[in-house]
Amino acid sequence: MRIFRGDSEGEPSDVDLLAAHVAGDRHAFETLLGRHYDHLWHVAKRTSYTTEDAADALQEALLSAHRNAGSFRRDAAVRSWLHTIVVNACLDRIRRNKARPAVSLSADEDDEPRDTRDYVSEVELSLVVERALAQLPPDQRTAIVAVDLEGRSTSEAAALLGVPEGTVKSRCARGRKKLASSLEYFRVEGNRS
Amino acid sequence: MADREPDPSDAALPAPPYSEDLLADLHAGVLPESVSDRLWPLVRKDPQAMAVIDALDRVTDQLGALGRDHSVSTPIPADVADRINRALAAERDTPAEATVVPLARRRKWAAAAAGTFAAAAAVVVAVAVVTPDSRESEPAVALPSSETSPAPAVLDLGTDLDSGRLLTVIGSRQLGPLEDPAQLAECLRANGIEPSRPLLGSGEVRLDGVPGVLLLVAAPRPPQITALVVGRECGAGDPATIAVTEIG
Repeated sequence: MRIFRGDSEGEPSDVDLLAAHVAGDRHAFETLLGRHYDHLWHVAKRTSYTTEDAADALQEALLSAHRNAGSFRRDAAVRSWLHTIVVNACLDRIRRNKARPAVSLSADEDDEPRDTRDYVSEVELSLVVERALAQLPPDQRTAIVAVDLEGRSTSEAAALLGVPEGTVKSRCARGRKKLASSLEYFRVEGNRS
Repeated sequence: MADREPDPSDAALPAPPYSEDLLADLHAGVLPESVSDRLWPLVRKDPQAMAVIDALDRVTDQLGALGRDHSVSTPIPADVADRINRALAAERDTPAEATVVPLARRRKWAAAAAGTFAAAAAVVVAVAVVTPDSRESEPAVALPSSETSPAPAVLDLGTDLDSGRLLTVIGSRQLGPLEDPAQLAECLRANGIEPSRPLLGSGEVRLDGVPGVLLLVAAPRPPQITALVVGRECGAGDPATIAVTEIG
């Protein structure tokens, strides 16, 4: 049974779908996810050490969202809400797996071709930054994702990742330096794109 | 930062040209204040150093913009999406009402049920519980050794409070030495917890080899949960606290 009502264009909003899910509609949540899967997968990958971890964390996150949809407060977009749940699940997984050796994303067997132009968003600059980010060692990358991308404070990030605050700062320092270097920002003259 | 007279301890500061590593550390707040306080004014007067700082600022700004861009996407592999959809379907095809499942059965798939996330993880007692039979797929995360224990055994928490494992006792009532309601109330009070706060779950555990009782209590600010592990002697005047943490 479909419970949700569409808006004037006939397409239910994200909030409508979530409400329908909470009300018991059996297909609303999957429909909702269809709209956000690719973004959430992208986020999970860059916030995880490996593709496998990303898949596990994404599943955990979406099961939680599925269960706790009633807690969504309509003060933000549904995508942002899902985004935050996924990021937290990924960082928490890192914290729980601390003992495991870190393997860089680029070492994955079934990696996408290095030219990610087909897959990533159209904006040229963010593509370049994203690609450079993907090349960082996973500990630096995830510290930078937590602090610089997701806006967590260093103490918050430290708690989420289960490491001392100094470690977070140091990983961010190393990572930012590498990024600035690979993006060629250190040249005093020349390319200021 | 105000300029100061050269300080004898300036001799301890590195001399220009400052390395990118040093400047990155300075920029990130890695250096002790006693060093950075003296270094910043010198760096600000050094164009080469400031070029590095500016580059780092630019990177940070762009990373921030990238983080706020919620249109970024990567096609999700079909097998990942399928697996997740199957797990969601299994989740859905269960009774909507909360069912209290004995701790042992719950633990087999508890990994999937455990919400470990700060945001929106409103873990309340009325959680839709998945019975083992209806699950088609394996739990995403395997719990360590406690998974294979027979019912109702002690939950081994290992050496630290993992919120995922802690939350597996939600809905369970296994108070062991704290069965006596009066003693339980005194125990909570001794740990600074109002006994009137809802008890969301309890279980006998072992933390770092030490036996204890895990109590999950609704924290003052929902959906937070206070997880408290106490020794068996916990009671009036004796908190016997082994560990405590906030979840959510």
